[in-house]
Amino acid sequence: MKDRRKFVRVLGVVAVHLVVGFTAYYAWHMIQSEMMWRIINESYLNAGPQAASRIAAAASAQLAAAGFWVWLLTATSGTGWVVYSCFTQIYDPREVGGHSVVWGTLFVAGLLASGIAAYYMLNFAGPAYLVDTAALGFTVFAIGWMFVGYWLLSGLLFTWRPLRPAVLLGPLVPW
Amino acid sequence: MTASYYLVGVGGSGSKAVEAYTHLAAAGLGPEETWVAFVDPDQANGNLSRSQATVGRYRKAHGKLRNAKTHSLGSECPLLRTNLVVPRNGGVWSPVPEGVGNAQELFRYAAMTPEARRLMDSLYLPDVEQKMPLDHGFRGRPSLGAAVIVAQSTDSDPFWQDLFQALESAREGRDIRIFMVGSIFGGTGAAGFPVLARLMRRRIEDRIKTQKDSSVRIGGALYLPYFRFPGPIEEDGVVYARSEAFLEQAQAALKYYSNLYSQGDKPFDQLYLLGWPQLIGLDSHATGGDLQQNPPLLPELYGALAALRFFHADGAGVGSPVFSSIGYTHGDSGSDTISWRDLPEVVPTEPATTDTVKHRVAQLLRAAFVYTRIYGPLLDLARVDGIARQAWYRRLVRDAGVDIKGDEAQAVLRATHDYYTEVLRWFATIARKSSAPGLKVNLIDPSSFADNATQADGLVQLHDSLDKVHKQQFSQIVSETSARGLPDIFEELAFMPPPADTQRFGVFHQALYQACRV
Repeated sequence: MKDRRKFVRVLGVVAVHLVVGFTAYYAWHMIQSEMMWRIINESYLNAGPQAASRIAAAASAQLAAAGFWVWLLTATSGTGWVVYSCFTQIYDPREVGGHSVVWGTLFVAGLLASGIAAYYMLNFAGPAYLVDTAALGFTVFAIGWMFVGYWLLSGLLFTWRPLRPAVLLGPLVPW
Repeated sequence: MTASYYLVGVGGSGSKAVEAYTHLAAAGLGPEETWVAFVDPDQANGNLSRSQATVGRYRKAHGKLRNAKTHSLGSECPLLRTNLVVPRNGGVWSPVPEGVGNAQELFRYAAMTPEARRLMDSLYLPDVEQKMPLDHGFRGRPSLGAAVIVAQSTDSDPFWQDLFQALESAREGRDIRIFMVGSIFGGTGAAGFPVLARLMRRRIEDRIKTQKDSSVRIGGALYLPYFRFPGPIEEDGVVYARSEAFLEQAQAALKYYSNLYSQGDKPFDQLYLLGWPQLIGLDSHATGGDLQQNPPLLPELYGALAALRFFHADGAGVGSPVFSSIGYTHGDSGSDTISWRDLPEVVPTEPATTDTVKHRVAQLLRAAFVYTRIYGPLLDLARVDGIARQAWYRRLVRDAGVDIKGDEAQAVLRATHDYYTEVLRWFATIARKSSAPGLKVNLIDPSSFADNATQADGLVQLHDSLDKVHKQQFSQIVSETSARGLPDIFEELAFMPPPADTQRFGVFHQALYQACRV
């Protein structure tokens, strides 16, 4: 009975992950489209149709790469966090240290993933897009999803306790 | 009507039943308070010593965790609920005074008239029974034991003084219940049982007859033969208890009781006779002294349950005869099995399906395991820094105001650890040693925490360490139950709110106890 419940919950995680992931990727696609139009418009105005076409192609490749990395890295570390949280069995408080190392690693991996994604986004088309609202918004979304979303998801789905990993981490969390 | 409860273990089996009662009291099955005492001529008897030590450990843990001024469990929490009261003299009455070697010395044979000597010689074998050393009990000679007990039960003895004082301190209008437990086949129990009951009733009724509305009810549990041991080599002139003679002695004693009751002389308001389908083999036998430390056996748990049923019964229930047979399950493998379903409930009016005994005992056992094997050692001075930032520690220990490095907190830790360790060893021994050929006891599986080997005190020893497999087996230590495992308990401790009505270390101990429910 308990195993079946756990199986259902794992299925739930995968389903939620797919939905959220698809939504994120679709959002990224929309942002990318918006940004492409703006790049093409500005390039056309500044350098003419041929340059605009070349710049747009390069920008498109950069944006696609950035999207891919955002998706891959946050999803990998985030899913790893969730799955690890699901199957973590702490029999003895002495084991908390070992689990904290894994959790901490996944957490840092998530941070790095968000950082790499932000780096790509900020560098693909020059300083003009550094403060692009949509790009910044998506970065925040990715980091937010990594930090809060997966915690909430793992906690809610497996113990109905949103802060489960945080509390179980014990030594790493000050409260 | 409120009641006062008194439990007296007579002889080796009786003292072991008191030991079982102590653990059931720890599980929360007993009344608020019970006065416990022992009757045994062999005060150095290992069985008695172990029972006294168990009661002592219980009282220490109870005193530490039921103290309203310091550390306190909630008033509704069943853990260590009963206050076990021990009389000032340690609660042991020996009918054989110190310095008296044998029956001839006790009855001053040398000073007797020739007629009195002839009478004594005709009742007791001169060279065997009359000269048998009494310091190790009556060794299966109840006729001798009865005479000694009657002769020695005087009001000047501290044991009787304590008993009467306790009874008199019970206020007017109280229902007084005394329960005696012992064997019908040994020496001390068989000798002392009916004699003590009759003496007690007579004296108590004389003493408290001025108190209106008080009623004295005496119950008893008599063990029929339930174990056997390899007979020792007989040396010239030395008398040993022999298990081969148990059945004949029991038969004779039962005839005596039958005659007693048919003549209208009923020393007991309620009498339990506890039999066992297979004699349980003990590995070794000593005649007495501290070498006689027999392992606890399941029938003794039944004796303690009988005492609790007597204490919990309403007034009408105590006086009515009870004829009950505990069934056991015939297993597929061809052997019969005693399981939790075969333990009677302690509240007679409660249906057997409530499983109160099973749940309470299982919860105690699981709490003892989790505390002694996992959490207790982490609270030790040398290790506490390693878990000081974990959620369960911060919320249930630190925030509860426990100064974990203080002497007082460490004393609570030690007292609780000592008693819980005893609980684990006792139940593991019951599980390991009570099975007989063709009759399997299937109550707990102690393989995750206890060895097979017994120590000098008759209890099995616990594993030195706890590996991953043992931790995984924890959820199955109570048979026929799929209970929550250690990870669930760890999580519950991390999240549960501090239990209400608890103080300081009582917060953590009650939280742990609650998390170990089945």
